[in-house]
Amino acid sequence: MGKEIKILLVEDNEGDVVLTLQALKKANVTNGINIAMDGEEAMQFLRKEGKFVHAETPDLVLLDINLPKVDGMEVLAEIKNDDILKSIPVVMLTTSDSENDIVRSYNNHANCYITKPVDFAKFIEVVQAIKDFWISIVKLPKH
Amino acid sequence: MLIGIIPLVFMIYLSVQLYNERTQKIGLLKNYIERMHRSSDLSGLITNMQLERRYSFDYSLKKTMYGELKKQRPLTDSMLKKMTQEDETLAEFSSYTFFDQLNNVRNAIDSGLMEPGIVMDYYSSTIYRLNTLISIPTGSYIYMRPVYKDLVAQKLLSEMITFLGIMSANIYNALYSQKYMVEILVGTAGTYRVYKSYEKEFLLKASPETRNAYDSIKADPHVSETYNYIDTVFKIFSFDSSYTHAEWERISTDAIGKLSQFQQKLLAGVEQQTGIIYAKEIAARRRTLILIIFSVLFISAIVLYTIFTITQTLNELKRSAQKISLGESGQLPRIETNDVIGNLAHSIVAIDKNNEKLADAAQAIGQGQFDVSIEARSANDILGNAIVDMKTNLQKNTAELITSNKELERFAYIASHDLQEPLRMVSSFLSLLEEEHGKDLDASAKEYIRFAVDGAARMKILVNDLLQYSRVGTNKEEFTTIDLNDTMEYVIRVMDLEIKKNNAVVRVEHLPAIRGNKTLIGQIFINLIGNALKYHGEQPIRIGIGSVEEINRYIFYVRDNGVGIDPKYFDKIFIIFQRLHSKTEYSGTGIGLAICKKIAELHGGKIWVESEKGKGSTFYFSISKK
Repeated sequence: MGKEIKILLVEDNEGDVVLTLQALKKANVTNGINIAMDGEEAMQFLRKEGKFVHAETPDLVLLDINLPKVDGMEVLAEIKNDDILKSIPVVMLTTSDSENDIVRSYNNHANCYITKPVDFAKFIEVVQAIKDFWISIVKLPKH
Repeated sequence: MLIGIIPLVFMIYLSVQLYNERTQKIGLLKNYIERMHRSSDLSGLITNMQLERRYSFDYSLKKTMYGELKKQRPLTDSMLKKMTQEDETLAEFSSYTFFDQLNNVRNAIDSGLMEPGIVMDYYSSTIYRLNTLISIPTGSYIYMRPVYKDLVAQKLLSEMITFLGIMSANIYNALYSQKYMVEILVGTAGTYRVYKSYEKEFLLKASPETRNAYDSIKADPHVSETYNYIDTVFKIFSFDSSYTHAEWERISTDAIGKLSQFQQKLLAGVEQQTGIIYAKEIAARRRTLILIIFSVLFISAIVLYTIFTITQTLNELKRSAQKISLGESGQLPRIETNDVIGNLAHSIVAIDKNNEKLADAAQAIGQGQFDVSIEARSANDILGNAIVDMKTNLQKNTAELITSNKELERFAYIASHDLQEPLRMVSSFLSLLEEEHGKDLDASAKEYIRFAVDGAARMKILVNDLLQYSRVGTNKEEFTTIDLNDTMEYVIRVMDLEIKKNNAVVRVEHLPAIRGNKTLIGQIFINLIGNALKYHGEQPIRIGIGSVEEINRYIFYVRDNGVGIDPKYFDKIFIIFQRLHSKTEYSGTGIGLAICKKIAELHGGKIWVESEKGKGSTFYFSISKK
């Protein structure tokens, strides 16, 4: 992959962070990954506030729902209600397979909703698929 | 009842009074008629006595008229006999009227031993006494008014005739004897004055018709001659030679006879008219009697009818009240009056309506509609207060239950959800460990890892099932009309892989459309078909799905030819986490049928099973049509 892809992973669980990074590594994505540990940090990063003044706008947001401070659903709503940020694809990557969460996410214009599989091998497949679709196939606007 | 009887008694009293009055009046009238009758008889007797006087006087004077005298005596006797027979009050009649001496007088006359003057005296005295007996009370009773004038007139006329008779007899005596003429005139002058005053009174009191009739009688030659001669005699106070004693006797007797006839005619007319009045009064009394009977019957009927109606109304009210006391409603006695009974009926209707209102309220409260307005009718309204309290308590309990249920569901949801996270960590990092460091691990370490991963996987299924179970209650999807044939098509498509893997034959009958939660109804079929596939026996799996329609519900069944269930477990299998088999025999969490039960109950139905061990099972569940 010649092109550098920038991903913002919003995840409070360190284990999941490690697993996701591991899966991305297996999908040959190693650089340009930023991590926000809660919703508030994620919004500061996206709006380049505070310590993230020099942050770069990501090409893709991987967003968990259960987050401390500001939860994933609120982060999603803020992104999609922000004229600058709303074009960034947001992939909900979460443990929940609740119908309610799914419906609410799509109502808030999430670009897709994926339930994290328990099986690690399957998780790798899922992350590979995300990478293939959103990074290699989908054409996104240039920032 | 009393209200009806009072006018009845009053009316009967009045009627009886009226009847009594009429009876008294009739008695009086009857008495009048009797007296008139007697007076008439007395008049007749007087006339006969006058004739006998004339013949007796002639015979004792000149021995003439004996034939007439012999004829007249029996007539007088028969008249006298008739009188004494009819009226027993005339006990002293004979001595008073000197009739007790009649036979002696007659014998003396026949044997010529009696002086003509004595004969004249005897008969005149008797006639005078007879005249005094003619007495008709001329009271001014209003119902006697039509005959009053004639009654008075005939009475005065009768007096006149008496005095006329005395005068004519005295004149006759004077003319005949030609002796004591001045003495006779002096003795009779008083009689003349009385006679004249009677005539004057008669002319004053008699009706014009009677006066006219009297005038025409006076116009008769004998009458006018008699009157003129008497007037002349008492005017000049001596006797002229106009008449011999025989001539006077003839004309005066004829005149007195005519006047007597006229008087008797008047009396007969009065008697007749009084008879008519009497008959009218009798008829009136009969009418009064009929009126009394009719009134009594009519008022009795009204009173009876009123009592009957009141009794009936009260009975109706009683029945209504009894029904209400047994808890029935809709008792509406239709009584619109404003009296005591009407008010009672209104009260019963009010009780009934209140009961109905309370029942409706209680029913609404029972269905969880706590916004229904309910107020106690008064501080003492036990039932109303009880229902108000019931509502308050029920609302509080329901609210607590709802909160508690929500908390429980939320807990189950969060628990199962949050349980996924650590599970994934365990499973993923074990996998990662094997993948990354597999070359450093020996066979047993790898096997341990597999056990751990397998355990995590089973726990995930368990957590997922729990999650699903908790969601049956939280699923907010609205009830819609579902064509179950479409639902079954979807279910079969979802389960296609498993069905094929088990070589199962699934036969689905045509199914109805129902109202329900589409996802949950699909779930119940998936679970039941899943069970049928799982618990199969030796033979090839055959699954039959169909429905039966009842009045209020549909019953669906899923039938298999699997291992079957011992009847003693029929209830147990629907309880969460109850399993009949070990994990090595059949995998499963023991939640599937509990979910089915919850779904059926959510649709106003229930779930049950019929089965024989080794021959297969049929699971039924019902869905309410409402």
